[in-house]
Amino acid sequence: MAIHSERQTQDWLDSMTARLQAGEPPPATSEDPAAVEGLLPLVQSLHEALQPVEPPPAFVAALRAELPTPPRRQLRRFSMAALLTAAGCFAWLCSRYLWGSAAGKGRAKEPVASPL
Amino acid sequence: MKQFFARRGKLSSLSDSELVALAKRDDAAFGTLYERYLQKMYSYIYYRTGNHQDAEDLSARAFQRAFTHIGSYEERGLPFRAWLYRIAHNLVANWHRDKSKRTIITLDDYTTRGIQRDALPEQLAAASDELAQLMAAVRRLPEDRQQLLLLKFLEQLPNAEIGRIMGRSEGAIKSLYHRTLLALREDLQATQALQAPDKEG
Repeated sequence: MAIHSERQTQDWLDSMTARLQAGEPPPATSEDPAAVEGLLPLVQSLHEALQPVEPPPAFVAALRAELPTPPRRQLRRFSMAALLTAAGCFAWLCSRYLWGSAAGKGRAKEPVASPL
Repeated sequence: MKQFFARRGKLSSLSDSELVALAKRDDAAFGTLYERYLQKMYSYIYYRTGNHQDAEDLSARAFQRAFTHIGSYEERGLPFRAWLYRIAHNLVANWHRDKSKRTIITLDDYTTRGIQRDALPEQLAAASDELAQLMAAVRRLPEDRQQLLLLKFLEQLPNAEIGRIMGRSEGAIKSLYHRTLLALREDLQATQALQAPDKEG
């Protein structure tokens, strides 16, 4: 396959990379013009060098155990705590108000001490 | 217990989209997504940071972030895998920005990979040296080019999906790939040229 334009070079490289990754050898008919000289061995080297890395098993297990608990449930817990606090404050304010008005009424009935 | 494994097996047969829909209300579905993508995320982050410690830290953060936001995630042209890679990429970018620590990747773990086991010691040393040079050159590339190479070689993703992750068109990805290989070739040639007089001397 003769390569004429940059676009064709890009397509050629792309298909060569795909073939390499699929374990197929490059086609015998392909030319290797100056524009792509050395690129195919480079693709081969990258293919061999960039291999998946196994995470340490202890880390996998620890994160797996941690994941369902953190943020979302913490958020739920936080929301629940906030709701309970708000309800508590409301109840306290209500009781203060009711107690205050009852005490006020009680105080009004008390005789006012005369300065004399 | 049987039910647990049966359910786990059932979940693992679901597609990403189905699991994502379930994960919005079921933590077990997210667990399956986690198992499906942990190694991929870890590998990607490991190659971008160059050490296991930061790879662990950032992988954990990526999954916790995904777990927190899965409820508000909607596919809309960005598949779950691409979304996850975007999270990982942003974390790595912040990591580089915040800490300004461009550690040279420790190649001990993978210099002997891809080299024939029955190779002679001197062949092994030469191959290991070449691989170290290649990885050092990869790490000298701009961030977007490193990302492209990892997605293409490590994940073997098609250009269209790489484009979705990187926010570029398929054609732009092909072009960037070409330019990346040319830059890499130039860098390696320059390194070899610098080393040649040393060897001669």
